[in-house]
Amino acid sequence: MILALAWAVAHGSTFRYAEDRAPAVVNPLFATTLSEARLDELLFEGLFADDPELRSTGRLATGFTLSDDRRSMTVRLRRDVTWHDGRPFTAEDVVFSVNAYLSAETASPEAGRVSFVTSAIAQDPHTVVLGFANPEYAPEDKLHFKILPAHRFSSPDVKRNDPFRATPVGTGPYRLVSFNADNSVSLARVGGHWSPPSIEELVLREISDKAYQAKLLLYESIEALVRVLPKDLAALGADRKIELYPYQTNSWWYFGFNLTNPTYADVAVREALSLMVDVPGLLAPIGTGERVSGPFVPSSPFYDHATAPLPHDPERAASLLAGAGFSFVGGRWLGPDGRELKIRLVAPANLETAQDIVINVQSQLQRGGIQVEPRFVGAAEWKEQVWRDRAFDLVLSQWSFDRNEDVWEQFHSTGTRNFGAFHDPEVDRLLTEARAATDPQQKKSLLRTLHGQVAAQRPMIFLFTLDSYAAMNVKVRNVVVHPFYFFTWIAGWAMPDGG
Amino acid sequence: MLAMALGAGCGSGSVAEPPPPTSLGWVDAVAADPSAFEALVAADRDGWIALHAHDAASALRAFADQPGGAGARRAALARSVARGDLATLTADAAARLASAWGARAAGAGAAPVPPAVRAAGSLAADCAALSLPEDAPPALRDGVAAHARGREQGDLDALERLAAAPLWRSDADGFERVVWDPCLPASAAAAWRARAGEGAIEGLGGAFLAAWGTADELAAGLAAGVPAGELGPDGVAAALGVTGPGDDAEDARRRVSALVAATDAVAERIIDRAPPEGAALATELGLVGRWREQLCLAMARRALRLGSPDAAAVWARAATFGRDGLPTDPSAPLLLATAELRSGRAREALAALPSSAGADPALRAAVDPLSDLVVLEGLGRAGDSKEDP
Repeated sequence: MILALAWAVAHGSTFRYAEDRAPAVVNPLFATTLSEARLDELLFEGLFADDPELRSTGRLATGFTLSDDRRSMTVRLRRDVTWHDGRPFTAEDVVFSVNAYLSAETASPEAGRVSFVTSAIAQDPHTVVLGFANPEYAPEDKLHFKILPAHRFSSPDVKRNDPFRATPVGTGPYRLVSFNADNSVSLARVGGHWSPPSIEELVLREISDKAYQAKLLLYESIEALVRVLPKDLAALGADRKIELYPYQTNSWWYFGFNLTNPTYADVAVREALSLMVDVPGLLAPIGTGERVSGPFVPSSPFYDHATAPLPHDPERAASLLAGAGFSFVGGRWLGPDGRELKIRLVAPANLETAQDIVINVQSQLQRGGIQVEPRFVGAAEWKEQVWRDRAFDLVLSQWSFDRNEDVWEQFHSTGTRNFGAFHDPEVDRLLTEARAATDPQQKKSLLRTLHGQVAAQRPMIFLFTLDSYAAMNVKVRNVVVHPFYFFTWIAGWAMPDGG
Repeated sequence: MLAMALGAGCGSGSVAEPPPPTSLGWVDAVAADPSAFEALVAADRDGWIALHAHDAASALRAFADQPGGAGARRAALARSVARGDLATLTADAAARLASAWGARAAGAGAAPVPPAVRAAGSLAADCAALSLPEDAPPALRDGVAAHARGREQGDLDALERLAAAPLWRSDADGFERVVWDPCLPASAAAAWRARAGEGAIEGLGGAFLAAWGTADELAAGLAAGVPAGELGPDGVAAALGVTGPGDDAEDARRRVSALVAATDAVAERIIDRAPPEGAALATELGLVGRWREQLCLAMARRALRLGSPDAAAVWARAATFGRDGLPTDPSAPLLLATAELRSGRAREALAALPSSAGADPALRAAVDPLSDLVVLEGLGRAGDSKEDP
């Protein structure tokens, strides 16, 4: 045992994992993708986090006291924590972080997760008092957002291109060593961390070709794939060197309309385009999955099974377009203004799944007389063109939700992730009531109604959800995967044979 | 060499070498002598086809003209085990919902628990007693009384009929509230177990398609009081050396890997040594995979009983992989859901069930309280979401 361990230490342990896309930004304030959130999980910590039984447990917090009226919380902070640059973690960092998330100048897409906090005051270097807008039953469940180092910023009004993104500093069990020329990211274990991980090094590799990912795993050039395509599950599962881990992130693919474009303001036009898309035909080349008819996955408590997905019905689509003032001339649809209907479809670059879907739907819509102009953009451009500039008619993407399946930010008119500019008063009402509900059966009823209402308004063409697994070499031991953030419990993982 | 020896002893993480291939009882028997299989299925082919397809209900109908025969008894036993798996999940879900909701309401973190939900929780805590709190709604009391009558009379039709509808429902609060009887599956399981009868089920019919290897194993296990759903690991499977209880998920994964290796070796031996018709039969019907599937489910049940839900989840998942188009046992998602629920993962428990479960009356008794529990746990939270193309 001792000699084996010594051998492992001498040879080190490196965990190499594949992501379809490398993170565009390493700053929890601006994390919008799951790959960014996974990397943030390694580099940063929150006051609390889930334990393996999904109960909140202290990370940077050691304990707390709630006021009698439950409107304030005194949080005691860990004293043995330093930032990756050696500076001590203090209550001022918590104060700074709350202010940064909430700053209108920062415009953090994560602001909604912090908006229940109205004040943060450092009582002493290791005690912070948080004030809440309303009485909170279990505020520790909502204090999982990542804490940032105040000393690395000039103000809580943080810009997206702040240099922090290139030299991120956290308190997490791993620190960022380098962004490499091949789009990989190297991380190293933090010596002296309060919860030291066993694995010494991590390497994130951006590999967009899923088939290549699978080969690298089978040939042991990497240790893990975060996401396995359904069509690869059987082959990987049959290999005795590979273990499959469920990684259900309540995800669904969709085409989202830009509702600031007058062409798509008419729900009849949106319905027509939805009817033109053969969704099963898009799914077939990718593998197995389930169609979705609205903003939840079929296993969700909120899924309305009475709302059926739209069929593929080009005739009905044509009828709706004609009714909306469009005319079919020379094999092409012309809008009421006489101009040809052309759709700018923005999709993620270098993603095999996205490419398959785009090429397929382009062909489908072309047969229906609609030109599709696809544009594949990288992660950084996506944030600008889609989130900021709304420079699209249609986007292709996938949303993933944690176990709360909170779609407020996507569909409420004030939602920070509502880049399609959807606005429906009934949806706003349902979301507001559901958020305030204290009866789970009432909340379930409200959100099932919401499912139907969103489906009827068609701000998106809801596509499908795919079976989701991660795959790892069996030499990675004691693996427990967080159902959303993946790496939350990496401190317990081990590679006793090195790697 | 010394380091390697020490490393292997300390759990190096490498996959263990499989033990020498051994007999799997009925699997080898069928492969070696297909005529025994033909004799078994000759009179009741439809019934055995249905059992192979994990359709106990159809099997029971097919075997109806021979109620005391091997097929009918095996189908009743299978039905009992399946209802038992549903009973475990249903009772767990109802009990946890009532408990969690009550705790949250006491801390002003949720609305008061509806009396009907509390009543279901009370039932689930002790299905044998079927006791209700004083404020249980009258309509709910009537339903439980009907349940008690059906159970006392061993009236399977009545029990199955009652299970197809909610115990109580109401729109009084402006939305639908539904509560299901969490103990009906347990009563049905007991009734089916009684229908399966006592005493040995002789011959190939006593073991074909099962986790245990021989009819003698079945008889000995039942006589020793082993639950039918946990039979298998202590018989021919024990010779494989992989079916100890398993303490945790990591241990269970090693055992699953070793089991797969061992059974693959058996499959090869069968192909090599059995007569062509026997080898073809074993392959077409997926008999080795079937035995392995059933053993995994037996291990999952045992792990749940021993308080190792993480290990149970590994075994339940292992039962569904590599089925290659063959029918999968509907108990697998139920056991996986139970394992996830007991690990604190209510949302994962829901995801383990078929997406059609919400429309299946038999499964709604589990799905509804599970989904309520998931929603309860998320009350007041602002969830996280990310783009994930």
